[in-house]
Amino acid sequence: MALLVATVGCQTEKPAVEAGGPAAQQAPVSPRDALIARAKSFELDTPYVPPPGDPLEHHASGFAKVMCSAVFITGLNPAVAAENVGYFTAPYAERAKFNTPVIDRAAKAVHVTIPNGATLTAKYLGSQGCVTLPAIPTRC
Amino acid sequence: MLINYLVRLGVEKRGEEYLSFPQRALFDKIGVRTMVIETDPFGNFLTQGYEFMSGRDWARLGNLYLQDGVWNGERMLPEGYAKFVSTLAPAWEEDKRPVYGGFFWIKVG
Repeated sequence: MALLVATVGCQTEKPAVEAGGPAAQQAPVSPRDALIARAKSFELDTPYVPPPGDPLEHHASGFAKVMCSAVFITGLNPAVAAENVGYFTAPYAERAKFNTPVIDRAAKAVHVTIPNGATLTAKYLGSQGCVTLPAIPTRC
Repeated sequence: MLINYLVRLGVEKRGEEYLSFPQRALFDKIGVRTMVIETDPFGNFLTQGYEFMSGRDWARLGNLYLQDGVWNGERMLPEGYAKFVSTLAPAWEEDKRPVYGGFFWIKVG
């Protein structure tokens, strides 16, 4: 929940296994590879099933949500927020697939339209912050 | 998300109002007035991010931990909890990534 004690930047990767001696025949294992190998050892033997729905709609919904909070809670300029805020929820590369978010200041809502025409909306609801709403289907 | 929902079940089982629970149970007591914890469309707190409050209010929360969970003589957090959250978690130690404790990113060195 909180990010209080501090954050730490990326670590420089060093080989976890040093070359030399009997182990010299083996290729060094980077900390990253060691981490992934350990994680794989805990994986369940089940097929990956992605979340239901259109991934692009999920990304658009996340983008609307991030923009809504940035504009209506934090008070950021929309252009600054779109460029700098909330990559975890709305990856930067995905944002390029959408039109510029529509900021409705009267309704305190943000709308993001995806190429197939569906519009994803996040609405500011006061003390609950911004909440994502179901997609509005394409109009024909 | 599962933990959030369990908290909701626990709060509502006691007949208390869920959405105002954090403000009543903690923030009012430490003088935090601006915290917004966002929810999903079903009204469940998200809490893995999506919290907003003023810098001064974040500092109040930080002070609570600096004071080992005690505020004006009243224990707000269980004894030892502040130490728990700031202690490197075993799995991250195992992965040689000494950056995360109990729900808290921690500073190394």
